[in-house]
Amino acid sequence: MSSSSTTTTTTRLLMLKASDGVTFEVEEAVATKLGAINNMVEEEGSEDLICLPNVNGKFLGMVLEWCKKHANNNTNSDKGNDEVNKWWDKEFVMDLDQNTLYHLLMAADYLSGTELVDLLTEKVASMIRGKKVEEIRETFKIKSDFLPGQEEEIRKKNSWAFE
Amino acid sequence: MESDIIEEILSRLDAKSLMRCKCVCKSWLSLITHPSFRIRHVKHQVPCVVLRLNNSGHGRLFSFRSSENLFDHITHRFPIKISSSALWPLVGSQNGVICLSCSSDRSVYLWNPTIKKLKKLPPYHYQSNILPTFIHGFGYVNNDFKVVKVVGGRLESCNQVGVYSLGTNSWKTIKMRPDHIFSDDPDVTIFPHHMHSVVVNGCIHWILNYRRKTPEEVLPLEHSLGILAFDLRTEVFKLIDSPAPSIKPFDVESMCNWSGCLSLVTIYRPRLVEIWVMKEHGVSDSWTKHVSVDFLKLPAPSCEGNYFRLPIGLSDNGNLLLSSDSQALHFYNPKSNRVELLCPKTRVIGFTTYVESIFLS
Repeated sequence: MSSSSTTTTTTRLLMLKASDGVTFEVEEAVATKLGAINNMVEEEGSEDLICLPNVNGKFLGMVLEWCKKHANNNTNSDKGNDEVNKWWDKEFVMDLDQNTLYHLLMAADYLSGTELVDLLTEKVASMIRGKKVEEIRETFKIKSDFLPGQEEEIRKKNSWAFE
Repeated sequence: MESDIIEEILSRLDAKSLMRCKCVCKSWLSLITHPSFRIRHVKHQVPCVVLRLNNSGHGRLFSFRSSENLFDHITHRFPIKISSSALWPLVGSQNGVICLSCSSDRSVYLWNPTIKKLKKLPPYHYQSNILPTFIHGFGYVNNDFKVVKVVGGRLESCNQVGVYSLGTNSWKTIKMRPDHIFSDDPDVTIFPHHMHSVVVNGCIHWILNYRRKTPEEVLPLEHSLGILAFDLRTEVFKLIDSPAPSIKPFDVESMCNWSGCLSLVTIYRPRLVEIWVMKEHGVSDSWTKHVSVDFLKLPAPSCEGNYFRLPIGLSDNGNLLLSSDSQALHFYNPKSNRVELLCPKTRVIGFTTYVESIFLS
């Protein structure tokens, strides 16, 4: 059923070239889930080959995997679509290691994939929620740059938040 | 990481986690304390309803329930002792800050229950030779919280309007008064109705009950329903027409900000409840009857008899909270057309919508 719906319309194919030269052939409807690509495609006389010097192949591939899933789910007019997307998103971010998460977020932001940025920033937020200051610093490799006493003062003002 | 991405991440946190994040490093601290961040943070929070309870605490207890799941709730206690809830009316709520006034000493408080901050406003100096009454309103405009105080014996004889700004922590007296909207019609008598104010589209709203004398009758008979609006940007009062002339002031049980629209909940005896929504703010023709439901025709929740239920207010996703004379709290879900029990023993004496924030920190 799903194959017949895709063959009836001729879709434009785009070539996306990552910083390391890896190329991806993607349907326009999939790639335009990314705001940056959408803007380029909408320009008159745009070419089918788009170079993306700020994203490498590994992360571009992951971003496109997400786009493909969402583009497919959205053409399906099932009522449970939102639920499917949510479930799939959960799976997508579940086992991401921190390094991948960081690069993926940078790639999604660079490509203006608003929904994907939402998903990834929410994932990062969930790693901060309810954590102690020391744990947050450790997770994100942040060094405290407060002068002696400054941090204590902030803590004192909102002591309830540290209970 | 770019600061915009960090801001986006932090804005998704709850207030408690954010207060801790202030201690992580200097750049996070300055980001969290920036005024624009607070609004960004509010936009990510789940809308709630606040129910003021009368459970022995004289109206000090406030129950916060998530609009997404009304069963999910926490309680906060107003930090100051309250002798009687009638003397401490709820003025309104905006961006996570609740405003209460105290009629006995005329003080006004701003309270952010989530981050446990309370601010008492400086006194407003007014001229009045009669024992004044006050009508208060509370809202947020141009990165500032504002409190409006109308001083007077009655609305049409009000003699002073003060506007407080949290930014400057001071009051000023403005020229425009609410009675000016009826200045062409000297025979109008205005009665304030529901004291509690509602903010929609940068305007504070109060329900108004007014009547006009006609030449034929000495005593005015018909009461009319109107909505008094104060535009926080222009500091001008205006009158908003009611949805229909047939609606009388005492038919209105609740005025709410429902998902950004001004809405009224009316009840006709015995149990016909209607919800009106003003789709385009200030445009009288845009009043739409959103829901009309006869509670007599609905199946009662299994654990309840056929008690009378009074509308309290609307949650963001359209559920109508109801209190019954058995002091139980229910809600009506228009989608399923059913009434469900929320809490068996609760007396609600105030309602407002709310969203968690870090304002006043």
